Amino acid sequence: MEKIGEIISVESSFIVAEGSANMLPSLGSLIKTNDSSCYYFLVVSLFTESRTPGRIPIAYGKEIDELKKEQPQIFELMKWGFRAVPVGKKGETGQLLLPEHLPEIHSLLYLISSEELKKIFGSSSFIDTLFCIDNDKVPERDEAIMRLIKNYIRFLKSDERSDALLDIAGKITLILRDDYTVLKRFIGILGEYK
Amino acid sequence: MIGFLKAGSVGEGFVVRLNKFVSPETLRIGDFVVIQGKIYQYFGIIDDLRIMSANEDVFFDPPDSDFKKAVLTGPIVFSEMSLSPYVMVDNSGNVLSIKTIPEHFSIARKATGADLETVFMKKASIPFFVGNPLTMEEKIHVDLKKLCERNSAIFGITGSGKTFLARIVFSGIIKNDVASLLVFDMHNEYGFTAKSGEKRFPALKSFFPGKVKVFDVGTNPDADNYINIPLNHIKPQDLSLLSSSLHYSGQSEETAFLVYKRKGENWIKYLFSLQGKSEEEVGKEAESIGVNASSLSALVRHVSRLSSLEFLQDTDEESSIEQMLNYLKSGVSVVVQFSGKYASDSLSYFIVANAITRRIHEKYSVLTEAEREKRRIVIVIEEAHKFLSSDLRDRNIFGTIAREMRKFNVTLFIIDQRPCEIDSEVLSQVGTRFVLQLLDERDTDAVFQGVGGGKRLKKILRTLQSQETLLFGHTVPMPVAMRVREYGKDFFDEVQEKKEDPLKGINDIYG
Repeated sequence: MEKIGEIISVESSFIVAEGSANMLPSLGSLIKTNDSSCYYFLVVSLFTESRTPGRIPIAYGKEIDELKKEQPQIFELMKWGFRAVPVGKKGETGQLLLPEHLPEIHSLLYLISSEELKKIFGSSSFIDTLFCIDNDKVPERDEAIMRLIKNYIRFLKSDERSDALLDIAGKITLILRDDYTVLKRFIGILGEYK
Repeated sequence: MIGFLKAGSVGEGFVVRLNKFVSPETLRIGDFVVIQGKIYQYFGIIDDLRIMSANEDVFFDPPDSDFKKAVLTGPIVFSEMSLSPYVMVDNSGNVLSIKTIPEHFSIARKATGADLETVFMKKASIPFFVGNPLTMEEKIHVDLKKLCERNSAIFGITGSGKTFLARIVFSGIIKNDVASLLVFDMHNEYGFTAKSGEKRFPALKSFFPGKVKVFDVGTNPDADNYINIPLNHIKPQDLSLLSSSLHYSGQSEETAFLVYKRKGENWIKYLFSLQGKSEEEVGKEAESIGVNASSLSALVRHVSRLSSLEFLQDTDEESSIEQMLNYLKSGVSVVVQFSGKYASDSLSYFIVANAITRRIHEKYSVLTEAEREKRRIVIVIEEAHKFLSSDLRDRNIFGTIAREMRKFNVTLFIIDQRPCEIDSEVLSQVGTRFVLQLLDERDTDAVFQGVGGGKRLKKILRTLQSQETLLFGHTVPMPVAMRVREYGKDFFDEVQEKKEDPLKGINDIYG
């Protein structure tokens, strides 16, 4: 399992985690804790900020490699993090349930394997759960879901893709039937994998 | 499974949402569908198909790939069908009229052969195969016993297949010995053979040489007998039917009744005797019987056409009608055909049909109940609207038979292309209707007048092609749209008498 970060803040609808510059999850990754509760999260945004309160990065007008050579401390003073939204916790029989509690702070986070991703997408309600994320609070929701689905499709063998695409697209169409503009984007992108 | 129940009511019918994988093109108006309820199975007919959308935005940017179409079909665009439910069947196979409705999401499926057998065949006393559902190869049976119990009709435009269907039904009635038919065959289509286009087909006498006798109005040498009608059988009301053929006016009608009153049964003979007489002589006659001279003169002129009809004879002898009645009573059907100069002659047709039918009415209505029950008679008339129009209904025998003769075991079988011209009271007495293609809105309105769910049946009728019919009424538990079975070798083999003693009919009568 690939460690990807550590929870440093927990709020009611999302967590904030710290990673490192060369080990950040991509937008739309599905990550999890590895404790007994085994929480799952969808990564919805990435960020950097200063470790020192009040210190604001300024522009140096140099290439990154040049800057790293001349002033390596700048990068050491930066924090690399991401926000993720809880999408479930592992139930007794392996199915994904909505979590009643939030995970503990400082829990370590890991990227899930492709096999686990396939299993989770096999759950009939997983797509519904993803769209239960409040779009007003998490404006990156649709983009994150789209990337997650793309990742999942990439992991599939070519003979599995056609049915999986139709299944996912069908579920999304049902959920987004009143918002044709967004729906069109989803099925347009899914259609590219057909 | 083709879909599930989405909405509905007993009165307005059911709405079924089609499964996304079921193309509406695989269904057709008139198809049988079964809704699988928890307690009952509901049988209905598709009366409408619709394509719908849950979001109109889709039409501003329609899908441009099969994948997108496939994904949008179901949640965004979908199809529905409306269903007219007619009967429900319980677990014991009892066919009941619709009294309740199934739950939401009840499964809809196409009816199977076993379903059709349950509804159309199991309870029928004398089932007879008449056609196939529009998109199935299963057989639809009518109950011939029920068919003959009440008046029946075949309606359809020229070329829609009325005569083929009639020959099929009549063959069933004769083969199964359900009733004796008296067919007034205006165009020579039911006797020995029938012509359709360039082809010639066998007809009733060819199938049942011992059970069918052909009476000819004319001199066809193949006929079993010839029609002679005594002049004294013609009544003034018969001529009312012929007013257009005889250029007969209201005044002439009144004069005819007055002459009949004065001269009795010999009134026609009397009118013939005035032909060629001078105006003065006719005037004297008019004075002696108390009618207007010019009216009498006009009446003589009008009825002069009748004197050329050789089957009208100055005699009291009515052997042909007596013999016809004996045949009918003994189970032999009679086809009255019009050959030679009388072929398709409406004047002869109306006189003969009316005179014979009145005679049969007179004779049958005085029989004892036991005698009447021995044999049911079905009288078949073509061009029925000319006998049964509203203005003639009280003046001709067919209206009386349609309204009153069921209790005497005499019923009418009407074949017609203008049902809107038939008196609505008579139409209401027609128990079973086979409706083929009808194009005039007034005709379709007429055939469904007073029929429950008529509006929905009308939609089905509009989709029918030649040789397809909508059957509904007393004979069948629910309306059925069907292709009339082929009038070909299979049918001929099925109905044809295998071995028939040609003297059988005669022996039955005379012992």
